[in-house]
Amino acid sequence: MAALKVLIVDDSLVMRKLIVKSLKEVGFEVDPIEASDGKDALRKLDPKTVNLIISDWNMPQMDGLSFVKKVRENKDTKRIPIIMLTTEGSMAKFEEALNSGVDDYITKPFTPDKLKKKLEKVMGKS
Amino acid sequence: MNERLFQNIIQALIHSAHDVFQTMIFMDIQPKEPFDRKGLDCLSDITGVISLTGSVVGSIILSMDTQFARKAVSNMLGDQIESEQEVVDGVGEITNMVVGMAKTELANLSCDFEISVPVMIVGKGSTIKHLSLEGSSLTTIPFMADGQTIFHLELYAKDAP
Repeated sequence: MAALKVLIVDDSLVMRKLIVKSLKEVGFEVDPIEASDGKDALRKLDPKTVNLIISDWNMPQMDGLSFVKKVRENKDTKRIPIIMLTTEGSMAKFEEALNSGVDDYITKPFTPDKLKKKLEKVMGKS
Repeated sequence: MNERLFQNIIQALIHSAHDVFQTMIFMDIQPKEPFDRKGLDCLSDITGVISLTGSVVGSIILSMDTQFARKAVSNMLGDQIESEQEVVDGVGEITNMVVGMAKTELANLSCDFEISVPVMIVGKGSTIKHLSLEGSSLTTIPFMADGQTIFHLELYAKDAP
């Protein structure tokens, strides 16, 4: 089975590393592409190869919500599953993210198992 | 600052710090009695500062020494630290998670504010200037593990004008 090509968008390099480690820990073979904010992610997003996007919300340059909207506006990228992984945990923020096109939402702190469940859910949908 | 709001923020910070350290750093921490202090010098080597805007204006500050920061980030990654940049970045992410989780708890109590991305300061004793808060008091919560103080979490804030 081919490795999952995941675009990981977070301004923290430790968090990007932790996400990759967590995915491997729960059994996913991953081929990560790392981006430090929304602008960087749009440059690195190849619709032909990326299977999944995991994005933070609060980032400099372009935040996660603006990035998600751009991905959904583009006909080539609009169907790529997106999980938002963020410290923003209120119901209002959750609804705002879903309305912007996020498929699912995880709040930090998180466990690898929680990430696995969400990932299986969104990948099953796509 | 409104006493009830102040106590709610302090309690939310204590809960969130405990949860973040337990879930991500695999460490059981205990808060000590909060105290007020004047001056805004960084208490330890690596400090993360997150600004608050909205119904509360100010900053939340998390400060720890390099030795403990290396241990905390290494625990979080389950791996050796590869660079000093990782240590500073990791403390920033810990600050971000603690403040973000407290923000969520407070939003459920109808106290809503926005948070900035963390600004990192390296150097014990560096001064943080927050001109709109001159004269406000700074409340410090020390946290302990294994009988030692391992980091400080601080609230420097006032109600929105």
